[in-house]
Amino acid sequence: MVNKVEIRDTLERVSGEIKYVDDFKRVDLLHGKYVRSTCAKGEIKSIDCRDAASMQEVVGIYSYLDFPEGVPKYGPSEMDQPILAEKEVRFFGEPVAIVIAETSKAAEAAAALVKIEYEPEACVIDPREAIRPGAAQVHKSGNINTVFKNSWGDCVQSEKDSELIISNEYYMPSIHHNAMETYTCIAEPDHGGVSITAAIQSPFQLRRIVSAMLKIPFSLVQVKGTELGGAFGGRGYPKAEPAAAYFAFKLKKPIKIKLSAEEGFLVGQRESAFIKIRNGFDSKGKITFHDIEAYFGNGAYLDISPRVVGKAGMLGTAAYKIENVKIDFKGVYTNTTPTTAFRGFGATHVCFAIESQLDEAARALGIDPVDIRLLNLPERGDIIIPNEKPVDGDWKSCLKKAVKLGDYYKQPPKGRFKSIAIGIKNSIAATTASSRVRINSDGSAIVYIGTSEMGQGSRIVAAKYVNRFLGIPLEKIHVITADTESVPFDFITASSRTTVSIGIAIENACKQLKEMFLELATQNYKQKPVSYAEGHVVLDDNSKLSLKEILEKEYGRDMGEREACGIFKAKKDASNPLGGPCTFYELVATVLEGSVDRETGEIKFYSIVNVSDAGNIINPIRASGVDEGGAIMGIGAAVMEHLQYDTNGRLQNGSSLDYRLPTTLDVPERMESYFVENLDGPGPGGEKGIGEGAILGIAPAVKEIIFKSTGLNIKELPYTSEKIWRQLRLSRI
Amino acid sequence: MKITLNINGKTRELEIDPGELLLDVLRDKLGLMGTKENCRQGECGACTVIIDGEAVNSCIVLAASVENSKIITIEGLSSGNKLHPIQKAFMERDGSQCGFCTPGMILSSKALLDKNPKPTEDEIKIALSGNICRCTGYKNIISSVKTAAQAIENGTYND
Repeated sequence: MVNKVEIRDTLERVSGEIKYVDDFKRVDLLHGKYVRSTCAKGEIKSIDCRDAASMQEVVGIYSYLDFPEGVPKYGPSEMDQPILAEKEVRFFGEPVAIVIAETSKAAEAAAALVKIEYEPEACVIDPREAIRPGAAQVHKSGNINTVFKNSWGDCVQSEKDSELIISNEYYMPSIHHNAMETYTCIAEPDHGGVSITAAIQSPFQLRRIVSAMLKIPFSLVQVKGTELGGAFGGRGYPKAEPAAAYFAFKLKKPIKIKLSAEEGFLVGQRESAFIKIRNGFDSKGKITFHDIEAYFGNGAYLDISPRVVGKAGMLGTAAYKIENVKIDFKGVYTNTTPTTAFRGFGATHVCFAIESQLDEAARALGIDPVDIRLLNLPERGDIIIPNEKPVDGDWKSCLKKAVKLGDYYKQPPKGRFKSIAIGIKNSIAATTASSRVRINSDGSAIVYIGTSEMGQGSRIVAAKYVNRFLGIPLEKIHVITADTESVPFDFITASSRTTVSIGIAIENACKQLKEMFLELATQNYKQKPVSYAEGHVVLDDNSKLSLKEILEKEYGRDMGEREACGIFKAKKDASNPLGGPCTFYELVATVLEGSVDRETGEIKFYSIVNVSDAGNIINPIRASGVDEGGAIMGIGAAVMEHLQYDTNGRLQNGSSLDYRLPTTLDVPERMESYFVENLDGPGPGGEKGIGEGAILGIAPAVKEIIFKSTGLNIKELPYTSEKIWRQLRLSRI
Repeated sequence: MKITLNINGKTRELEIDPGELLLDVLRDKLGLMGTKENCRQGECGACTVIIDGEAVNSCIVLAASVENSKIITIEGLSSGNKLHPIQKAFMERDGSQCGFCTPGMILSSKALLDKNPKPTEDEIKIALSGNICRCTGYKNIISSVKTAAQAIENGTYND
């Protein structure tokens, strides 16, 4: 029997049949190509489109000059980003004009002929610059756009009780998601509205934003989500879709905008962060106080960064129970690519700082790095953050398991060193997800979920849930995803939330269906139904009725079906700054083994072992693969990835040639993912979520390897071989 | 200009521009979408095809320059419903997540195994070092190639 879900999940990917946006070939499309700013900050002095406009096949060229009432804007936090720069440019690569032409070749050729002159101004690239008095202002409102503060206890008082105080400043640059599929979308007029085909993690968010931009109801905006060629947060929020939707709607023509890989570097990045942290410790290593200030560089527009700042701030103590805390996080504009969601969503930055502090304290106090963490980790049920979800796992046990499975105490060969770190992420609060489960007249099922599939295996998980709750064989289950016109609302596929939110929604729908079928059996049969088992209603004479039989009895042969819609509604709580408690915590303990070549500064990794407190894993091989991907992405961020700008704010390494990414040669000989399954998550079978945890502990674990190998305490990522080599040479002088 | 290309065992006559790249001819003229487009700089391997036994980035190859060569794309690996052992191994060992790098990975693997049927892990890593994957962390991909090598030798997947 054919398993359609499995075919889509695996077979079509190895055969190359699976279709991404650019694989839908159509002959009726117009093509949009942006002309992007070569100036990081300044005023647009002139736009000369004459040569470009005279080209055959060019349908139109647009800039802010074509919008006397103001350029349409979009954005998930605020509608602050114009689809084309409005007189002022704020980052290198900001769209200034768009050429719409009959072929993509013509659009590209014409775009190259558009001449733009700028009056450049001083710009700020780094949040450290942006917060200085007198710094160039990205927006008139000032460079600080978001403030999150939280505190409890008394840091000042507890300083006096501290045996040791460690104060540091850390810096993490922006990095690029670099999913393998470039950003592409198609928008077309649709019976008075607009329909958008895009690889996006949040079809419903895109719908909301386009509806607001065009001032039309949701019922006139359709978003058809396609397979995502990787996402990692980079496809969470709109990029070219609003512009495509705008022009498709106004011109009443279908338009495709396909961004090159280089343009991908100009539309979304991970937040940079400058972190100032002071911790006090008692003689045993217990954290007495935690005073952390962070400035997240979020580029020229808000995107979802205010939420990142708030989320990271809420998790400002990471996995630890600390009595005296002061958190002061800010979002800061810079004249760089707007930052957006990125795997970890700010938790990566917090974990880097606090884990580094713990390692330094452990050394200073002569305490084992595992013991210092055990001392500061909470117990299950502890409230470590006021108004936040209590600790939902046995985190000390997870750490101990990592120590064991990662052979942390086994002496490595000479020149190689081990380190351990804990990563934690708070999964998004106060969201909803719905799922509709439909039983066809022949007893097969269709499951409708708003999830975007990016290789995490969401269709398989959805099908397995229906199989679990209704007993319908996997081969008789079809899963439909991510089309706002046919599936019910799901907030977003992000934050490791899908298994829990969709799982609970499906469980709910299946529960309703069971009741429906039991009720139909009661109405239509002399014998009384006693239970539902293995896809059948069992009657009091032990006979079994299939779902198909029950439907046939009620409606006639092939004449009727039943469906139910279930909902997951996360708890809301106004006392929590994020709107409610996080759905669960994703905690991963990482043991790393590596060495540093003192001649070249190159780091080599021998072992990465991750243990994730996951609650319950439905698809073990896929889950391990996702965590291994997270670990390698963490390696990339730790030792090679950074977006480099010159003093004029021009991105220097925004291409595959210049932006170094991990390859097979960077994979350690040993890499393993393990899961702690205590069935203690909120999902139907005790599931929590995974997807982000494995990246979080990598950078601080690498930092510690470097220290153990070389004695260098380098506080700015990435740890390129060049950086280590230079520091080694300086340290010898 | 007119050229003849030999793709997946079939010869086709095409009208192309002299400067047209093989990747674009495959996707835009021949409708073979399995070969993916990403960096267009010969860096990421998503566009990998096999030309005369070598794994090649089709985004930096002029179509006109491979007129007399045997070209294999991902579509050439499966025949009807029958998958190539490498494809089956990738399914068995979960060597694919989002799937975008997968055609390129599989073809680089085939080019390797056709020349070196019993590669070491290091040889596999080197052969695939020109194919970027952002999802899997490569571990399951490397396992897939090992499994494929064994399966081809033992005839494990033969029906």
